[in-house]
Amino acid sequence: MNNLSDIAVSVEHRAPAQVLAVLTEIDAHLQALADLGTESAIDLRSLPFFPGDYELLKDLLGEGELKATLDSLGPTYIHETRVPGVWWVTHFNEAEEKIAEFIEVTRLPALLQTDAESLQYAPATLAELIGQVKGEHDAS
Amino acid sequence: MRRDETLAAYLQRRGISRRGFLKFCAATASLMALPPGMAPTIAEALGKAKRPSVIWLSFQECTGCTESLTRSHNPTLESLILDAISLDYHHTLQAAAGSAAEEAREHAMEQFKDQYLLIVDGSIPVKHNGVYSTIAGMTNLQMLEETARHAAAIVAVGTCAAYGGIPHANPNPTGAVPVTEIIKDKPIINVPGCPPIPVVITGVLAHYLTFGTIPELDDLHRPLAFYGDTIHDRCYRRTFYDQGKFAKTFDDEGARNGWCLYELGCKGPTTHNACATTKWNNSTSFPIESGHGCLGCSEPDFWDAGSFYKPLSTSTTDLSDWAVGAVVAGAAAGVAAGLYHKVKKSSAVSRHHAVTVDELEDKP
Repeated sequence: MNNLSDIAVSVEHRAPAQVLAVLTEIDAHLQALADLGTESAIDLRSLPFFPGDYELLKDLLGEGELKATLDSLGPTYIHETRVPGVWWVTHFNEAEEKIAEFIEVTRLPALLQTDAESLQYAPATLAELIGQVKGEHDAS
Repeated sequence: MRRDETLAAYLQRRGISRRGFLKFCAATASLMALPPGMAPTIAEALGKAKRPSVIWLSFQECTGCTESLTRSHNPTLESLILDAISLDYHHTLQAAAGSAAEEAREHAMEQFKDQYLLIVDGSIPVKHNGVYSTIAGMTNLQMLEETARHAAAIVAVGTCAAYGGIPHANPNPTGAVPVTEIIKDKPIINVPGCPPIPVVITGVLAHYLTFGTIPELDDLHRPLAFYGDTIHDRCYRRTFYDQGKFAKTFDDEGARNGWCLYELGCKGPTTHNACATTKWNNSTSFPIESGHGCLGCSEPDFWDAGSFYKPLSTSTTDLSDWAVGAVVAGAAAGVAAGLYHKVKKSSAVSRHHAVTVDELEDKP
């Protein structure tokens, strides 16, 4: 029996026009961020990538010095690329299947910031912890 | 999820943080093919949205649309959106059967009068008073008219509900028609495809859930977010079409190099759908990327639109040489083709022989 790998398939070499288009769009967003503070995002799901384009884009942008993982409704991986202000955000569900992916052009993605609503409950959470430690201290 | 609970409150009760909620909204925006910047708007809308009642009616269908939806690869998002609606009636998914099932439908119709969302898959036969498909003693036609009367909106899922689909294909023995040919006084969203991409179905539901309105539609009642472009417009092989590089067979050098499949019958140029961007099986691939041309399954009458393997520029009938010459000549073409079809049809009718039950039983 022939193996699937015996079938000669090759991807014809071509200029990565899609990758160039995305990089150009990122450039425009970076300019808007620097000049006006405008934040933007590109939904990678909606782009008609040729096989290999996605990998090329990811390799080109690479990874910077900051990475973070959000653990809610499955993991979300966030890292700043080697281009400051350009972040790669990948959302997975609890079955580790990708559900969305974005390139965000921002000083800090919203997901990495503590929201105002959660901050309201923070003193109460901390008070509980302090009470716990105090109790242990007093008991000893 | 409780009926009177908002989705935001439901997620919080399930222990999902604000960040998790924002993640859900970002993924939902992507699902609905909305700009990422809409996520905060979705968050605000979902913060107030309550749980709508949904009645799903299945008529002349193969259940492929339900299979597409339930086999989706986004269980978290999918289950949350499906949890967020109250699916009060669905033949395949409901536990109840018989009169209990019909009572559930009637109860939802009464309790949520003018508020429930009606989803339909399958075409509706109308020939001979609709006798070709009945449920609980009612024809599909009767059930649709009764249930649509107080629906807030109708979603016609799949090519059968949207255009008539395979049952509608020539000679259409049951008189199958789409929802739009029967219901004229309700907002209708067509979500065609054979089947539709699951995220497209969910995206439409998510839009209704989030905004309480139907999305912007084209002239065939299809959401522009998913059907605004043709496959050809967004196809990654478009560059080869523009360069005139076409695969001639399914295993030639052009096919192996991933060239355009136009000459192998691809209907991408005339087909509106999101396959080229949203893709299938959790964005794994779509027919063209897997090496097969688009069938055009989200367009009306795609089964009667000619061979799947002849290019769009080819006539849909096998004209003899002299007729082809007439086509090139121009004005005489219509007459020539019309005459040819008339002869062909007359010949077919005279050759037709109706098989009787006795004849069938006599056969070995």
